Amino acid sequence: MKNWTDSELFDALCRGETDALNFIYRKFEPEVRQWICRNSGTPDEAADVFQEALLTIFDSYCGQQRQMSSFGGLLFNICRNKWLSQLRKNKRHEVVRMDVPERYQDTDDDLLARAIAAEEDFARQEALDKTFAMLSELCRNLLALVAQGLKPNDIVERLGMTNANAVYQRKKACIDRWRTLFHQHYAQKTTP
Amino acid sequence: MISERDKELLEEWADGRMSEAARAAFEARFDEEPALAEAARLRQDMNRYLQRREKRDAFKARLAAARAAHEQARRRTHMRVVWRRRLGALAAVAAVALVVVWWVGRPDLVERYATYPPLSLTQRSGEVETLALRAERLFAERQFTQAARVLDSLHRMNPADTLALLYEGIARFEAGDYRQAASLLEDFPAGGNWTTEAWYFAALAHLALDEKDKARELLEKIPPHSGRYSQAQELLQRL
Repeated sequence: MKNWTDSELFDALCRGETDALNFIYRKFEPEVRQWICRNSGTPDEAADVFQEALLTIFDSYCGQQRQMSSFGGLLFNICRNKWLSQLRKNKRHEVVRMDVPERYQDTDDDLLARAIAAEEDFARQEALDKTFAMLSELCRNLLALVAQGLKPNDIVERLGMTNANAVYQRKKACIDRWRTLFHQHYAQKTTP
Repeated sequence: MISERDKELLEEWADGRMSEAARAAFEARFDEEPALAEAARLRQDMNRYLQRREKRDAFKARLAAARAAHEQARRRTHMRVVWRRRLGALAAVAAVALVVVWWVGRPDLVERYATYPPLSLTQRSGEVETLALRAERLFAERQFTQAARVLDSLHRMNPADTLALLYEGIARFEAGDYRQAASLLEDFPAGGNWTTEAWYFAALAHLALDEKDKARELLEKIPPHSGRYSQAQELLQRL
């Protein structure tokens, strides 16, 4: 089995490499599952948390100029935070063993802060994802074409609009709608 | 909330349609206007989301595949462990069953081979004695513990009376005192009238005590001309 360094793992995860994902599952998932199961969770809940934590790292670290840290430590802290917030959300007041496996009792004081920041990035990306799906088909297509870097005149042709100005106006309206939906959704998610 | 004008400016800013100077002036307002700064941050997040949407969906699909593969492997390992435990339990049950069968069957083996003629001390010794008669009666009535005591007295009175000693051993054997029976019978001197009979019952006593090696050793000493030879050989084969 290949030995991956932390930075190799971050890079390979961002590229979605199957080998790296399999390695991450083999190496880190049992420990997380064990911790969650010891803290009132089930193996299925642990698997959900672990999967979401990897997506969180993807959202927060991939394509961003972020300082790398211990991959395992960051992943474990993200999983722990997610599970604790789920327990709080579901008003499950079971005693939580706060003990962290020794190898994650890292000297990096910022690890917990990084995990919290990553969780916030993930929550925003999830809210954007959910609210984007609520937009009209025209808005979704228009914003996707703009993101692909198509010129307004090309978009006019593709979407059968009248002119470039109509593209700008429609795009602004779509963004406005998206912003409103996001605030509604994100406010709901973050209100205790 | 931000104004309609600021929303327009925000779009120009996000699309990169502002001049350097206009951009710097617009960004300078972020420190003073938190709502505008938050709107700008959200607008950037929107752009980032749009640019990575397809990659994110692909990543999600790969994650789901990795999770499925991992859970399948975990289930396989779990099943292997379960089956190993089941087979272990099955083997343990089978071993216990074998021991039980052997244990239940063992007395049959010992009992089947523990045959002897009735005790007839008076006839054999030619003496009519009260003690000997009593021993015969007790033995015939299968009161083996009392019979053994009387036979012991008889043997002490006449140490040359090896028949009394032999039957004391058999009485101990029948009373279930296999250790005492083996001890009395296994040291019978070779060449005597009752020696092979004593060794034979000593072997049965050891067999009852599950001391197969000792039993085998005594059975092997029984010579071919002995009346017990064929039974000893049969027993040896079974052992």
